[in-house]
Amino acid sequence: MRGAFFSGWRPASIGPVRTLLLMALVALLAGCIHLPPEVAAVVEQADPPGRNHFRPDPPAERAADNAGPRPR
Amino acid sequence: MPVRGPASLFFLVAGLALGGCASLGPGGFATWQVEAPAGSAALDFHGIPVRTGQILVSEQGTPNSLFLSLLVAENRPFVHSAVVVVEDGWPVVYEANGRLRPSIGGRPPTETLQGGVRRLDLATFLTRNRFIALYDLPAGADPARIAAFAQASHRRQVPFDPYFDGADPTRVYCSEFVALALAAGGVSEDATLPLTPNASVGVILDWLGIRTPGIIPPASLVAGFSRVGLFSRQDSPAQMQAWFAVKAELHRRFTPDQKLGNVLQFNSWRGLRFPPEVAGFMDAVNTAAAGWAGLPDPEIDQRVRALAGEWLGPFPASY
Repeated sequence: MRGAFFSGWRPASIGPVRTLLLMALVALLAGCIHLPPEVAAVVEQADPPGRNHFRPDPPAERAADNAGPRPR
Repeated sequence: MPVRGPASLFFLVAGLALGGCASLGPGGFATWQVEAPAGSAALDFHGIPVRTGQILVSEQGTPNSLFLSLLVAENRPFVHSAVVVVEDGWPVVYEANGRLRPSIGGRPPTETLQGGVRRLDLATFLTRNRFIALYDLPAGADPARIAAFAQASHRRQVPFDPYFDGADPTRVYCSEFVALALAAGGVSEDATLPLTPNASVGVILDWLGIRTPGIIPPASLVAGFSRVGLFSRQDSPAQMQAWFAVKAELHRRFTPDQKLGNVLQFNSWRGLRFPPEVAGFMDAVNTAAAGWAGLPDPEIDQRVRALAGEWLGPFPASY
């Protein structure tokens, strides 16, 4: 009986179950990571160089300023 | 204080338990710098003079650590704190810790965060945290009362406070818990600092439902206390100092008009992370600092600021 039970789930019906679990997982993760637009706007985007204190000017402007190559 | 991602914005003390005493001591740590004499009343724990009531402050050096630091208007090192208690000859640590729980529907993480006051071995604490400092209590403090407060809070399972509400002692965040313990032991300085006036942080705090006017930075709790030691498994003393100089520089550049996304970015799958420029700056500093042994702290700070200019662009020294 036990063998029959498991054979009933393999391999044909494991696919839908797996899909269902995957959908549940995606829904769970989506719930975790959803951000309201106003919050997303301040943590998912950065300002361009010039208004961003954490990003150097583009290389062309740096060269014009004789700042030299960016260290690596 | 806790945190990870916006969703994980609050897993401060998350880390995997690497525990075990096998690697404790100078041999297993890049920094094992004991600065205080043993003293007769102290327990000798791998060379550290440990006493009930001592205060631990720590930090992981992660994006979450920086996020917590940027919440406060003034920069301070460390974002977590805890109380040491010697129980039956064995040192344990009491701390307020938050743990994120998954939610459906995109509720802010403050609504799903769980946790509270917990107890762990000092050995585990030392191996879990990246940067750690241990402080002695000032003269006149009552360590027995501090221990009693910590143990009672643990027994009552006082929950974690994700809203950093210092006016509500029924829930506590890490440094609020330590401040209350110190107050129980007769040390009651107000260490609260106001939150940052940064507009983008204000947007996030609104979403999280955090209305508190101020937070207690862990370093403010131990201001004036005598340091017992510094500890880090992977970073040398110069690298520790360099990390805190990095954080100070980032904090200095995070002026009220700066978007949080400039210095910390959120990725749906990876949570909070450093933008490439900031990550590159940090890596460059950590690599360079490996060769800065013996340099005085002001020299390290100056070198970090010079690297910031190269990696992040020039920024006026007057800010």
